Amino acid sequence: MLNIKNINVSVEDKEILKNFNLNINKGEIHVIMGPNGVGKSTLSRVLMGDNHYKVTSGEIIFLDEDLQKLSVDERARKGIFVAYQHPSEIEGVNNVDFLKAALRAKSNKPINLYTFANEMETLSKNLQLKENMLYRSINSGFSGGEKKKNEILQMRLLKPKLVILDEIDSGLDVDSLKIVAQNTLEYLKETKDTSVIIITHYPRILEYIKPDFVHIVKEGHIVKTGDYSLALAVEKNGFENY
Amino acid sequence: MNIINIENSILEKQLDSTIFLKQAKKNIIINIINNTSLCINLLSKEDINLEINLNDNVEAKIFLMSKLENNNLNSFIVLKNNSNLLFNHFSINDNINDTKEINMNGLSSKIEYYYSCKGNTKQKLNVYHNSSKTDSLVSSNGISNNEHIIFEITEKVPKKVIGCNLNQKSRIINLKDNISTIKPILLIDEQDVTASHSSVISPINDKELFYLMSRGISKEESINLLTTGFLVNNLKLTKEEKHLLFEKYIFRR
Repeated sequence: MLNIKNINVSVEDKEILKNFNLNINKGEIHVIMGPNGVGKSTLSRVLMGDNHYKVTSGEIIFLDEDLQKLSVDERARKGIFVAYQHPSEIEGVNNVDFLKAALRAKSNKPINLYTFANEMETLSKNLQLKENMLYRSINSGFSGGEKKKNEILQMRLLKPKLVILDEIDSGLDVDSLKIVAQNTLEYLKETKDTSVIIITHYPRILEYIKPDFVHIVKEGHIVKTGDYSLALAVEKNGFENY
Repeated sequence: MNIINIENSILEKQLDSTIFLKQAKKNIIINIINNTSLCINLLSKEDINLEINLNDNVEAKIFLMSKLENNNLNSFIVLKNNSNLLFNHFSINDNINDTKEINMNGLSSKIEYYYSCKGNTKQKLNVYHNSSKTDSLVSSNGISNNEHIIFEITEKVPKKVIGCNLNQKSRIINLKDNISTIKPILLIDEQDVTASHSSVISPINDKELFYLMSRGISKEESINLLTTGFLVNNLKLTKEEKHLLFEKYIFRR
């Protein structure tokens, strides 16, 4: 599904990712772990097409297409979704109008409002999001947990093929983490071909979402790959040994 | 809700006894004698002069929606003792001089003035605090897509007019590399006054644009969502007024 071949990525002339390689097949769950500042979140920004991050060499193939030739919105419509660590607050644009616009863009046709309303009601109940939040400005005045749940609501509504959870567990209390993880798992059960990249510092979320591969990133590239036990070893011993 | 509809010099109205209306060619005089709300829909290619008078102790809400082309809109507003006006104005403009004069003649009169526009506009607003304890909030938002927007907002407080409160906020988003201008002017000749102002001219927020596009929404549609939100959010509208605005001006762009 996703093949990242030897990319180098710079931000304002500072090289963040160096000779970074990663191959993800359909339905696989990969975890990216590493200390602060090694380029974990840079990866999500690069995949989504943030133009502040320059890919200076290498290539990224997603579903047989050169990702670098696609704009941000084209990448999203092709099936990439990033649940952001710090989702934007957008005053004046309400959640419902935004989600309708996103669904219209994806299907390229008018949406059925009855189906949409029902789906929103079910998803917001599952995520324990108050219904009035859907009619408020995007993430405006939301708590940290509510913002993360809103990201998951968008994911379930837009049904992407590659989900990148960028530190979705940061700032979440125990109950909210469980709700976010359970909703993600439910989505993965519904769409078995969906692949996931979980970017995290801690293995807490992995107690719910069991990964196929765990990668340790240091100095801009993967230095070690293993399974779930690698995440547990990191929690016990830190990143120093890698 | 009371309604005045003016389309190319033809005036239609649905008014109750709280509003007294006089029209003489391009001059429209609205006298508000009791608490009320009024919606004015104005489509014009000719100059219009609008006069609004609020009686003592009257609380009124006015929502002016306008689509104007190559003309002058001149408004003259007078507030008497303890009167309170919430004035919302949404305008799509093409080469417009929008001149408003607000006279706060009555003790403890109050105005909240919210203005949102797009297109080539010169808004010149003068607020005269002629009586003590008057309170004004002026908030103007504009979207420029390669046009020139000028907001020139002057508020005056003379000597011995005390206890006034003045707040001014202006923001213009330039969608292209054009020039827009904000001139906030506070002429205060009295110590016992509270005043503040802020002015921002900026391009569209690229983080917000990226967020919307990362959900599959095209750049054009994302900009449309952000600019509509920016303009509508500046206004203090009821659900009914918002519905009217979307029906008449936003969905029918």
